[in-house]
Amino acid sequence: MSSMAERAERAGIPVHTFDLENDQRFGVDPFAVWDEAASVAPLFYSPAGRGFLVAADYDTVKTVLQNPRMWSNLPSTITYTKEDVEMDVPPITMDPPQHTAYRKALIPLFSPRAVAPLEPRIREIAHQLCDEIEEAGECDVMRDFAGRLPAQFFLEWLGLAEGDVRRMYQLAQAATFDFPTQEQRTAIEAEINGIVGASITARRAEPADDLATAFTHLRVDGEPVEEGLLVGMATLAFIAGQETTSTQFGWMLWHLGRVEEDRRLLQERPEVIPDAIEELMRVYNTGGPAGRVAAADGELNGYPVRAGDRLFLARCGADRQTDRQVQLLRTPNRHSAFGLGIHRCLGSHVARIEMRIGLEVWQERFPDYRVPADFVPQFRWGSFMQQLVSLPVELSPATVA
Amino acid sequence: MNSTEDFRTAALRYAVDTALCAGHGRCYSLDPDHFDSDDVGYAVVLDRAESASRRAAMEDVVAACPEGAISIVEGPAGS
Ligand code: HEM
Ligand code: SF4
Repeated sequence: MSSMAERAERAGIPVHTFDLENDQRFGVDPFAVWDEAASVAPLFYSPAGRGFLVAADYDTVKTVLQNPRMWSNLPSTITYTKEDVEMDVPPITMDPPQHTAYRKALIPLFSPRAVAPLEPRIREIAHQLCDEIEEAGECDVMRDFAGRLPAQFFLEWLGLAEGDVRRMYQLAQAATFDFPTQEQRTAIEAEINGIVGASITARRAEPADDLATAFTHLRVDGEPVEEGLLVGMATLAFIAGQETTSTQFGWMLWHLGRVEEDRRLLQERPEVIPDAIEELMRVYNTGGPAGRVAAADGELNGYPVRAGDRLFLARCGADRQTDRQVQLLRTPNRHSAFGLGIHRCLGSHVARIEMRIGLEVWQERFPDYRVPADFVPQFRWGSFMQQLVSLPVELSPATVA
Repeated sequence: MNSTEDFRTAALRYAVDTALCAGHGRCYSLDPDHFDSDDVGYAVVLDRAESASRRAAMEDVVAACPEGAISIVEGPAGS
């Protein structure tokens, strides 16, 4: 059996070291690294980690994600790491037909109609956070707003409002960034499972109108869900609901705090905020695990695939390749920031609402905010996504007379 | 009727490939006159035909679907 590297060479698939774990440039200018990868080829081989293919243009990403029988989520190994680390976050870590049944049970909980009523509460939390910022008179957007709005809202929806919000946010962050070994990964997941499991148990005794209670009613093919799986799904919601949304939202405030023209456009025409969100997700595409393993022999862009081949989806690079310029009113616009195919982000509708309300409230409260010109950003990296470590802003810069 | 007339009077409708639709909801956000969401978020095409002069605008919606699930089908006017 020939190795992935040998087959890549024979098929004329380029080799390019794309190293999410070790490439220090991710801490300085992450998008340059994604752009570099996307400019190599639609499909290339990276010798980093244990070796993996990289799908780096939209069509290749789409081909892979729309063919889950060929490109499986089992085993759920993180494809780009040196260590073989497995995740346990259903329903991402499932394949059809099991995935189909679980997805069908979960999708009503997160549909556009189910999440629309959450809007007023999200707006209320956004205003509370802005009140606190106003009172403090200074603000680090990651610490005080982008990093708090999704956590505050989501933990409440999961029945965890009473818990230690900062610790829970740290846990979601750890699950996204700090897992070089299987032991660490398992320990982080176990701690989160404990927290969300306790909430589900509490809601069984005392139901409320929230997501935790909806989980207790979940039926798959008419049967109650085995407790371990149920808790695993709530754990994925815990991680994505806080960390991914915060990271993505932080990038939006980063962009608008630096590009005056775009900030003004959204103030003058708040009705185009939803379009702006799509464009900012495309250019600062950030979230969601992105690995698949070949379930069978086959072919991809001329490369002879063998069962067991690992693949990473460079969705960020692929989406940016459409056009690296930000045009908030881009039409038509499409991106893969919420994934594609059967694992399309279940939380996309609620995440869109959170980001829209977050932007609406933020620009209403701090219309003249900006990122200081001398600010040097640092990024948390080492995972499939990169996050602004901090984002200090001037809330109302003194106007020059 | 010659083919030029045929083209001009043809009515255009959207069609969604339900096997590909993953419920991103871009279509019914961008063009609520032609799309709705079902109970859980997948696209439903509303039965409303457009004249051929609207093709370019319709193609923007087609191109905005991340899954490539939307197409435009042509039928005789009034069908
Ligand atoms: C802006 C914020 C978010 C982004 C960018 C994002 C991104 C993604 C991506 C790219 C995937 C697909 C992963 C893959 O195909 O391997 C995904 C899946 C998923 N996301 Fe999100 N997500 C966000 C927010 C949320 C929220 C708020 C929730 C809350 C429940 C959530 C829950 C999920 C779930 C359950 C899946 C798995 C769906 C399945 O396997 O069928 N996400 N997300
Ligand atoms: S945009 Fe495409 S995938 Fe999304 S709901 Fe409409 S048809 Fe379905």
